Amino acid sequence: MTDIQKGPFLRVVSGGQTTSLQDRGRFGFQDKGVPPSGVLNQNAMKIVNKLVGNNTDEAVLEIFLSGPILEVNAKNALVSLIGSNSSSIEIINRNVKIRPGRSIKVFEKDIIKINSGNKNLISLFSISGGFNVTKVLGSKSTNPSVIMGGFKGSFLEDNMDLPLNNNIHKYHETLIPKFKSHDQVKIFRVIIGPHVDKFTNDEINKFLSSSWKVTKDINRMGIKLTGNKINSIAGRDMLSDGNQIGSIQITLSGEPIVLLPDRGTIGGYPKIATIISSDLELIPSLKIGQKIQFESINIDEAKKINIEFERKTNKNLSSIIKI
Amino acid sequence: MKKFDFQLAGDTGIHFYPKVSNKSYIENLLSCLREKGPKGIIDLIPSLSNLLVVFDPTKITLEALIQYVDKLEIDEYNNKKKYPSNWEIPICYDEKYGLDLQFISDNCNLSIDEVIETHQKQIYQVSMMGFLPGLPFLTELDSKLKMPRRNNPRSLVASGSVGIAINQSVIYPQNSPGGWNLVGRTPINIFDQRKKEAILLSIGDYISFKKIIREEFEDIYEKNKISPVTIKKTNHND
Repeated sequence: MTDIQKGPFLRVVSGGQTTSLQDRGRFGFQDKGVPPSGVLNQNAMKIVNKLVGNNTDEAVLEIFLSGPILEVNAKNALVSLIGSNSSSIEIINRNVKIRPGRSIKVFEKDIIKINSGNKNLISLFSISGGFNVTKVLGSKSTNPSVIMGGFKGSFLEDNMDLPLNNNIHKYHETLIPKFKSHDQVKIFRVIIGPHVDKFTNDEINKFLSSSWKVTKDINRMGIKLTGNKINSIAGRDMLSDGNQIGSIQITLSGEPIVLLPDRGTIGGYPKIATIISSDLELIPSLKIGQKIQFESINIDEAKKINIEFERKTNKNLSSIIKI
Repeated sequence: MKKFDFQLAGDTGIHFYPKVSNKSYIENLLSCLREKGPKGIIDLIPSLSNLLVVFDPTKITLEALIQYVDKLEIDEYNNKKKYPSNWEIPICYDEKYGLDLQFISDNCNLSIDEVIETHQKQIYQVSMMGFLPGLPFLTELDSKLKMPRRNNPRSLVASGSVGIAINQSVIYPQNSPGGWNLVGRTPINIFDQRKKEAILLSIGDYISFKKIIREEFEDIYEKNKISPVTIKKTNHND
């Protein structure tokens, strides 16, 4: 294949720390050892896509910690960002800076800088038309640890070209009038288990009453926490079993790791508790060094919280207006 | 009587444990749910102790899922219904690829030829997949070749390498660090992102190895670089 008929693309001027292409994720292949990947915050993905007129499940750039600088090689496009209140999209050559929760038109040779702000761990960036990438096992999501999907299975690297779908621009700039990013979350709600039998009640109570610090040992596979040492009776020879997203495994040294989308499909550490699905969507607001706590709830309470979370997202989605 | 206990993995996951220690219960539950399971199941992750079912609570409630599993006639759902495939995978046991043949030979008190013959003549079954996308854990390795993993794992094992440890053999689906003792290498890709069906094998499939010489390996390897070389599969129950 030749590059003569090259379509529109974004050129990566600077890749940032760890930015990757993600969609909802890769489902149905975990029995074959394929991690699901995908964005942590599915609702934010819907919003940032709708802001640029895309289908709500189009792949977006997930910015982990520091963001990239991109050069637009397309006639025009709409771009948008969802992140903390201090995050922004900067169009350097035109000296324009816009807040998250709205879209803006960009033109040929514009230089876009994505600032993830000083509070959020993760922000999401969308572009109208989406990225022109072949799906691997049903998803455009990148898993760099197994070199799969996205842009040749890798994080954004300097001088990489990110192909865009041809997009005859027909959308207006839009915004969410009362956009408010999530407050810094301090309490995550969990359901105890699956490995309840591997911990005494005292250890489970210690886990719930302790305060946990977010370490810098953090990536798309998991977040390592530090605090009290949690003892398990599992030992070294526990049989490995399936790893669910949000499950909190306790390593041999007694420290918790929260499992994220790029985790291995199976693991041999005991899992003391699992963060409920709607609170997983709040992980992007974490900050390295901050302290968090876990609160145990039951499945019925989790259902109610999820319904309320969904309602808020839909309210945000339907409040998007043309500028 | 209920055949499974369960433990919750959050509000979107549930581990089903067979009440009696019977690995075929997990396999049969996996087959049942995959082939005729209710809507709303997102992922199924079998392991030696349980089956993790990941579900979408907006499509199926936890209660409905548990009820569904309780009502299944797992005993009658026997393995013969699964139609596993047979695969004949080419392997080159040349010392260029079988980096640990000498070590295995010393450790197991067999000549290198005997190590190769013992590994090659066995028919294996894919008993579990994981660690890397598409990596099969193959049982049952001949007990004459039983030995632990390497003390010092290699930082890079080439894609297609075939290794042994304990009572299993594995095929590395991509370049990766690894601690298995290497006996040879296949020139084909068991994980190939160029193909729509990127992962060749499934749990339950049968694998036999076809011995090829170095020239054949290199020939297939070069062809495979240009476009994926496919190998024939046959239905195990035919």
